[in-house]
Amino acid sequence: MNVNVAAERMKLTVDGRTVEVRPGATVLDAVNRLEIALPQLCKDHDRAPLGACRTCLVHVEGVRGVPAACHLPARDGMVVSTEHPDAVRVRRGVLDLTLSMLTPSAERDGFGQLGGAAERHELARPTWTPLHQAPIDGSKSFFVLDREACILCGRCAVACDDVQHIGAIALLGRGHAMKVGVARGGAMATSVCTSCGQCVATCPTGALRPKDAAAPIARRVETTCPYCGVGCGIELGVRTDHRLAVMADDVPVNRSSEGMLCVKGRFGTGFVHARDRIRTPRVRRDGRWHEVGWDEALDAAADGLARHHGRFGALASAKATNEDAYVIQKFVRAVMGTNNVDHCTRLCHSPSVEAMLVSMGSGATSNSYQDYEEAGCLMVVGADASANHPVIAIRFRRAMKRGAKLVVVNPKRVELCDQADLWLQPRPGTDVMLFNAMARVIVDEGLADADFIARRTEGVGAWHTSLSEATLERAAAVTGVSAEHIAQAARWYARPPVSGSCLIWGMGITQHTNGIHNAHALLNLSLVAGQLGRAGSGISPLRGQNNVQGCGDSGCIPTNLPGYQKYDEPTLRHFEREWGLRPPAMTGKVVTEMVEAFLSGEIQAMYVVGENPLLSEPDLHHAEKAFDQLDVLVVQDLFMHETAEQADVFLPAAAFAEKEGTFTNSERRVQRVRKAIDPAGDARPDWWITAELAKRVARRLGRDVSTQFAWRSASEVFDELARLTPFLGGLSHARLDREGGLQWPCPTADHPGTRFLYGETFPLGKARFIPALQTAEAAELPDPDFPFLLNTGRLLYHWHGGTLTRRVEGLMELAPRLEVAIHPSDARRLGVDTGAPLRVSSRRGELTGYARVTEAVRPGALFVPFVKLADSAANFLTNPAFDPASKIPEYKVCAVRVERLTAA
Amino acid sequence: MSEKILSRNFGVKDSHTLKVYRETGGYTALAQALGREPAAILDEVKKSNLRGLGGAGFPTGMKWSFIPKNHSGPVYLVINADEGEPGTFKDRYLLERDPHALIEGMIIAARAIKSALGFVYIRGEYVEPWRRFTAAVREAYDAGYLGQGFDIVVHRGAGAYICGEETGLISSLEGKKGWPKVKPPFPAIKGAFGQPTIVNNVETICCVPHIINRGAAWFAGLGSKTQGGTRMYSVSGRVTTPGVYEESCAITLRELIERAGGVSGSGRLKAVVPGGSSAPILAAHEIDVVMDVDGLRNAGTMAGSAGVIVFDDTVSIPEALMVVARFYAHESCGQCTPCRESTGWIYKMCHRIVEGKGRKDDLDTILDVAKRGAGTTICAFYDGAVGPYISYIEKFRGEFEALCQR
Repeated sequence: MNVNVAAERMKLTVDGRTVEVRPGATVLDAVNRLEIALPQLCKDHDRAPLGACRTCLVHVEGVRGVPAACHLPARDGMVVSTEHPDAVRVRRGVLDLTLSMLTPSAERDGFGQLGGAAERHELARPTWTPLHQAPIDGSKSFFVLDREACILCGRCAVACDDVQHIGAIALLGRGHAMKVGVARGGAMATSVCTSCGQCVATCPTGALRPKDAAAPIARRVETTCPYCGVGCGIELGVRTDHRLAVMADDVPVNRSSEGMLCVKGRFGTGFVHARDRIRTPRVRRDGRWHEVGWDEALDAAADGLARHHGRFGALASAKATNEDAYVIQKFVRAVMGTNNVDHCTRLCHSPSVEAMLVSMGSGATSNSYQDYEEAGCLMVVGADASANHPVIAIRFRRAMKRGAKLVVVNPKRVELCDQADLWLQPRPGTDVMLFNAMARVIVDEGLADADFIARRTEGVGAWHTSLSEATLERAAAVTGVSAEHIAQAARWYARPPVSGSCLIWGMGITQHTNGIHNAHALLNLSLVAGQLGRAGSGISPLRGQNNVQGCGDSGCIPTNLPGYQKYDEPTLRHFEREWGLRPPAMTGKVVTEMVEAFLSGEIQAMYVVGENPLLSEPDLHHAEKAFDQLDVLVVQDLFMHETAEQADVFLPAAAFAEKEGTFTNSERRVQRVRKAIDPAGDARPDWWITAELAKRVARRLGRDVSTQFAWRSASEVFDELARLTPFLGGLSHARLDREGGLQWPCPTADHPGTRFLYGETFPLGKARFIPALQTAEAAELPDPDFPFLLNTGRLLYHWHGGTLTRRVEGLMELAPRLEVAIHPSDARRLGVDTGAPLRVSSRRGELTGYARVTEAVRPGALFVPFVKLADSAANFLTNPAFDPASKIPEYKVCAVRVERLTAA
Repeated sequence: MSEKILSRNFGVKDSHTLKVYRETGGYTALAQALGREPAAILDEVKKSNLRGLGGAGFPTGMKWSFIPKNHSGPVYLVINADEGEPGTFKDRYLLERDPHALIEGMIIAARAIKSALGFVYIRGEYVEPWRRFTAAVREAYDAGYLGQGFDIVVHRGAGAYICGEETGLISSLEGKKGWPKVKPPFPAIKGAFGQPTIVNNVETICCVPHIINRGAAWFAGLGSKTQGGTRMYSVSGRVTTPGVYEESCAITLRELIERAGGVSGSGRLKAVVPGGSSAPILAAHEIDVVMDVDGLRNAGTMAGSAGVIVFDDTVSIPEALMVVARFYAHESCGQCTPCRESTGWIYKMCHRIVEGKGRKDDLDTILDVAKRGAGTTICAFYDGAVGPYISYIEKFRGEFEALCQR
């Protein structure tokens, strides 16, 4: 059938001008298309109209009265006037009433959109006086609620409830007694508000406004958030004084975040301007730092590293760009002659990646965020998405609103538990038994996807035999979860009420000595139920760092070349042709092994980029000893952190807002990072620094790299990465600028990108069931000396170790000190209340924190976030025992004791 | 005096029970309706000239016909029993004294619109009507009238007038704040829980069994040319015998006041509100008006919910307006700026006028803000408030001016 495109358009006349709109458009859409200034106070430009402010009134020929344009359907042939005397008269009356609600104040810079509309309607002074007065609520760290500037348009309530699904603020009461507020009428800080700022961004009058002084914005730059792996689009405001505005805007067209942001993305970019940014290269001589020029610093670093060719390791940064990562691994492999290059995935998702590689042949999230929303069941295991991936948590809440079942598996009562249909609270370390029992329910009750298993998998027989022990009764006894709940979770997962199921997991699965078994147990579950490879289903390890996906993709792992290519002869030859130097064929060391190799002397020089292992490694005292053994340590970063303090050379790097590049997020979407401001001081982009270093080391080693490391821009680096990585082959900076972020695999320039993996086949051909066995629950369990079980994790207001977020004042205000979550029964026994100082110690170290008495943890368990606050960090306590297969340390379980400290 | 149709059992002992309802011919219409095609029932109701008796007076059959023909999901029937219009109490009588008439009417209406689920939204303050009605629903389930392809859910309001507005009622029913919704889409297309929904008043649906039993022509003949049937008038204020009177829609206001025993108090009529508090007021000389939808519209007011409030000449019109203004200021949902701010300000001004602190230009200010805001809001609430603001002041301006001496 031929579709007549012209017939799908409607022609209207607005103020004598003709405009075309699509069916379904409103008259306001037509007005806005012509850029006619018509007030629309309650309309967020990327949300449906609310229709409450009644200021977009227009005159329409043949229509009685003055309808509101925002919900008047446009019709072909309509003749609309925004300037008709009736419309202007009535609109002016409504604006007058609106303006009358507000109390002018010197503290404010006008009334935003309302001020402009009033001016255009020649309303200098309103007829009425405000019916209410109210003091400013300044209880939140980043913004205020100033009700005397509020016109009750409702946009903030929609932002909180319908966009973020948080529901902290609402329009309370009714009629002219109505006001914006929180439950029980308290201050904003008493509510469940997460400071995401979605309300501040949409407020048309400045009633909700940032606390920092409004500075003129010179330009806005769209880029990608530097915090977690969700990869939200953010728009940085660059002020006329070349600093970033405290508040970044959201990007509605970004397909990963759809205009949503969390507190860190919205308000957390200020670390770029931190006073202690290192702006000049430094070299340590006679135990003291000396500020030097780039040549001197790079030569000093090159001298040191060249001495240890082959006895060298590098830790790349999952915070830096794909381009930065690519250059580092090329330097390590081509110049330093080793595959000893790794990044922080070792400490978070290496068991997931290893297990997925073994079972399926690819180590990435199979689905897109969109699939969470289309799923009928979401099973979230060992992940606190509300704190660590807040925008993904919004997707979960949206799915639930549409009727999806949420099953949360977590020993700790994370926020999602309160929203879940079912919360399973297994004993830490018993996950394999739990998921094997679920798998058995699926098989025994005939819920398995027999067709999928037959066509797409192998090894089901041996695996099925391995489940013999995992009866419901036994699983209930081992895990502490009732048989009924295990079975219910299995049924919902295998046969959701609609669509498919998504399996989502975090560090709670991986950071165990049996991490890889845990991961396999989950993967087997997805295979037996056939819940991957189509819309609304999939397997998702939630990635912690902004570019942890991309850092691995670009080759910063010791086991594979860029694009997860193997060290086989044809590939090595291909890289040799491209690079002029042959990468070594032997698998390198992972970061935990590198640290051990410092002690044995196998590694004597280390290049650490954008990482702080002396905060993130387990058992920090031990790690410090290992770092002491190094002959040469070169650190490249923004700040002088714990590891940098030990370095011989410090190379100051540009921050995300100061350079060009790309990040790849958890849904494999490659997105642009753009330069908004010049680097601080003499700081330089990481790829440039590494390339300069590589050239200098090569010269000292007598290798010819004249045609290599000669890029003139990040875009050229990306082109080389894309040329060598088949699944990125169709991407370039220019294409990403044109089309927005795209999801790999995207092998050719005309390929649209890939929403979900494994639709037809697995990289291995068929996926493999790998029997997973329940081993000892943990390497170290409570005993009479150390009777508590310590669990670690993260906080919403701090990011990982806190290197960035500690430098954002407003975030520090929201979470100023290290809190130790303790169950009320234990707190009673110790005689402590919330806020009491505590000392927590393990066999390896101790920390000081403050009690937070909560039922979120079990009796006998403690939770401490691994952020370092006031010199206390959880990793002084944690156990370096690691999973033999993936080498991940067991951060999630160790034994500690806790004592009350008398206040000094 | 016309034949009693809806109120025929009001004087009968235990009229609210299934036993008495059946003895007086109850559920015979249902038996007939079950033998007819939905389209035939709809046609009968259309021909009967039945119009909505909750306030808007929209032709009932036409409303039913707006349900999309090929809709595959559920269709809901919602009964608006949130009777909150000041001066109106006829639905309360029906719920208390003849609840099975509503249930029977609902089952028939549901057949016409192909609905399997009905909601009855009962005003929160109506405790006894709610008890009687839920007891009747239980009886109807036990007797097998309900639960055979049609179910009823009873939902209680929580004291907001705005929930009597059909989209506000739907929001409240959905568990949200009772805020009216932007139209279009109209509820018949996208109503409760996003599905096509017919919202009808209690009294409207109570007429349906009679139309089926005795035919559209008979029902149409009871009323005026454009509105069939009788109507339950709630008569209150200064009359000798306040109460609910079932009369033909063709009755005049003067006759109706006489039915209620004539004007009490001083015995001298000053004014009448003919259709609930939102209806513009009529002066004493305007009461020879026919009380159907069109008759009252032509007289510049409205039939509304047929709540007739009679004022004798001892009543102060400014004081009456202050009370009305206080009501609208208190009940505005607060969503739309003109309504929220104007109702607040107009009450404030009426209050100061009654206190003798009014300014000369206050009356024109009220008229200006009232007229400018009319028709600009999401729902008809503010228009309902504007009716009294304008009519009280324009018809009795002298009384107001006497109080505004500053």
